Amino acid sequence: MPIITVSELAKTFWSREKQRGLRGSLRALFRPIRRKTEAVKGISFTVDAGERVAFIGPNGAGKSTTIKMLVGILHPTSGQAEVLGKIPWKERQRLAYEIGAVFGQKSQLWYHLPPADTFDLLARIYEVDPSEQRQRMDDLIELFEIGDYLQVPVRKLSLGERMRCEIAASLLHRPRILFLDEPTIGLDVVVKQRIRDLILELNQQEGVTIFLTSHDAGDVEVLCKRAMVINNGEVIYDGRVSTLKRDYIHSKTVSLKLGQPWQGYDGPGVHTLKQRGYGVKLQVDTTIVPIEVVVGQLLARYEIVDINVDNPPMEEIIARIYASPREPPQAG
Amino acid sequence: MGDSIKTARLVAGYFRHNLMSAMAYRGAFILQVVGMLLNDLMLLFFWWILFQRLPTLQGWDLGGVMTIYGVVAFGFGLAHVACGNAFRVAQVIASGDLDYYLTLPADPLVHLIVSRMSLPAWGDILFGLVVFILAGPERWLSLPLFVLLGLLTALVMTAFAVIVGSLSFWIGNADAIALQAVNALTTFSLYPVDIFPPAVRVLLYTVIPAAFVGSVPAALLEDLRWQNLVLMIAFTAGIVLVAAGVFYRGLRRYESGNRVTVRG
Amino acid sequence: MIRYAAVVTVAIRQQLAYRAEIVMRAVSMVLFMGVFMALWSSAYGVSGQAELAGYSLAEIVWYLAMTETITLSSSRVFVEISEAVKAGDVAYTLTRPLSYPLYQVAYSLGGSLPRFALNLLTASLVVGLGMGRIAGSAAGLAAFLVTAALALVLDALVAVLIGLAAFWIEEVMPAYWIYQKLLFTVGGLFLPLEMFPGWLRGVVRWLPFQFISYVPARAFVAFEPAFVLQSIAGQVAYITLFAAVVALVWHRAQRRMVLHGG
Repeated sequence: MPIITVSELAKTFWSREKQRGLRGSLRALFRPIRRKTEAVKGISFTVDAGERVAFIGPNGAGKSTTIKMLVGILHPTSGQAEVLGKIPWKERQRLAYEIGAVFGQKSQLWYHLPPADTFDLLARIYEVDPSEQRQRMDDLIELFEIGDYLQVPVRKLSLGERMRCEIAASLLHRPRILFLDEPTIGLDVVVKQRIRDLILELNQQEGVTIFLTSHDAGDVEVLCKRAMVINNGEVIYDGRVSTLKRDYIHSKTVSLKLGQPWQGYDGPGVHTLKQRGYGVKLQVDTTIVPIEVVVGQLLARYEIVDINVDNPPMEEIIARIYASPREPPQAG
Repeated sequence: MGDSIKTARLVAGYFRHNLMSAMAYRGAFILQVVGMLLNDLMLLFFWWILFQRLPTLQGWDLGGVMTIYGVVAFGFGLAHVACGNAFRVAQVIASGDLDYYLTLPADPLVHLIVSRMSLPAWGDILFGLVVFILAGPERWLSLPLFVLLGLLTALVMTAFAVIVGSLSFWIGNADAIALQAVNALTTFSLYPVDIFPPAVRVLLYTVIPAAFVGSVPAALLEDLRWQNLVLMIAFTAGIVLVAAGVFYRGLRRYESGNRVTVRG
Repeated sequence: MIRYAAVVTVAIRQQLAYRAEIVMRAVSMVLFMGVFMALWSSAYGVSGQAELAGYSLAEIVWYLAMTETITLSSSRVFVEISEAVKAGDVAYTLTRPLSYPLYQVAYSLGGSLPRFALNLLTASLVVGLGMGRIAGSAAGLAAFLVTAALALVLDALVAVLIGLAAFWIEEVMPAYWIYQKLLFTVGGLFLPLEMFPGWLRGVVRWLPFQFISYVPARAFVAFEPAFVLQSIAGQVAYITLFAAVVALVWHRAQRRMVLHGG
């Protein structure tokens, strides 16, 4: 039984072009040049209760536009969508009680106050009754391990601590679906992993449906079973994350900072992308050699100050999907 | 000599650059200028009503008060247009943004203060000119003196702002105090200094030199007394030197690294 | 309504986190009252009269203490609203079961209350010491508190309106300056309406601005039940009118956001 149904959803923006100079301004006044941007071009999909779905794509692909339509803050140009049996943009406020939304770069916490104050306020806003709120807070404090800084002003929290509070805050009213727009943006590797674990736990313990967008393939790999890849407003892949990984994420990059000069690495499936001084960037083809093997050999051979393993950028995955002859895009 | 030419080029360069970027949003720019013009104009309303009930106030009439407004607004406008960042010195020091100016080859104080232009301040300049011309008959004849005194006023305001802003070198974030001090200077300067009790008047010639921003130059425009002009010029030179002294002394402290960190 | 009361409470706590700023406002108050006392002492001295337009020196100074108390506690919420509009953040608030303009009014009032309390205290202290007496009654104080509360609501609505204007104009500060200066002048912030020429008084008593400055201060220094009741009626009428305008403007802003994405 799907709880999100989207069919042929499309959004076109018209923007007025600004021209330089006085003459340009005058011309714009009388004969404005309007530019059409098709942010989302008729996408269709369904999401079942309890699923963990990732919506991935590069910046400007249409991810945020889609998520905004699903939470009701943007009207589509055409097409239909239903979330929990409601049309989001028509029943936005009623839907609000049943969904939670976290926008990675828009904080809902009051900056100068401790998170506890925002929690209390949100409880009033969502009409959570006080005894229920206490119970819920205890659960969330335990799950997100935020007990220590619930009374610390938000401005004094680290980005990771803040994000944990941010997500906990949007769960106070027990939403059935949690929308997360770039929840790990700007976080370091360890904190990213922590947030991913929490989201996973949340889904497994409470059965909350997770719908997240990201431009980091890492989020998807760990967190979601199903991924939709969106590019230029179209869904170009919709399927299992394991399949996506097997077919399209073939390489990882390893960035090293060494304590000694670089003397090269010879082995199949590894080539040097960049090298300057004691810094090296390698690309590892994981279909030829497992990443663990390469890292192990590097650690054995070099004195390593810092090491980072990254997924290839979204653009590269997308290029590969387009280039792939085997599996045609599954978009509706 | 080479240095001062370089500095003058820098100042002119920033002025041009800031003005050009303002022109990119011409609509907003014009709106702000006109808004400020109206804003200032409405402040005179009070005096217009008051002088309908009183003939003069301690020797000042409506024309005299308009002259004060003209000089203060013109000087305030010039200072904020040419040295807009002088009024943010405390903030720049406290936030650690000063480092940027230290890495560049130009004089850090000059560079710091000219790197920002307040756009609505153009409205103040315009208002100052208009009000001064309307304040009495044949005012255009003394326009050169007005411009000179406006320049001196602007220098006094800028120097004062740099002094109070530099407090950040010693006490951490002095942003609120500096803002308050500059507001006090502006507020007091708009009233004839003679209405205040003697003790306050002493303050207005020294600690908060509002007299040299408003009443003194305005009196000179009504009645040019040479000894007062010399006093005005001497005071301006003095406060500019003090401002530079305080800033560089604070800067040495900053560079020696025992400043209070206020970030975070 | 409970949820907006909760917003007021949290806003008060947030305001209390800016202690330095509150204290600085109190310093401004001391400064302004000092200037006004000097100016008006001088003016009454020159005029040689005990009363100007029916106000004694002490009365005019207390009048100004009250108008300044309100002005220095007034809403700056348009700054946050216009910044949120420009950053495209307002749309995100639509996901809450809450009206954004009402939320902002509540937020603004929460911010004003602590400042109002401190400003009233400071102004009364400075002027009381300076003049050696209180030019107002207990009934006047009660009338002042009621009309000042309504004045702050009206002011918050205007501030929200100015903030929302950012959806259509690039820079809202000039709109605020003009509003502020209208309060200074025709609002009676610097001069009671009785000092205006008759024709002008006839015009300004119908404008909303005097309900924010003049009315509460006048109610304090010269308490008259009829004046207070009439003024409250006027305040309520303008609050209703501005609330309607805010609702209309918000409706259009919302349409713009959901159709064009902010």
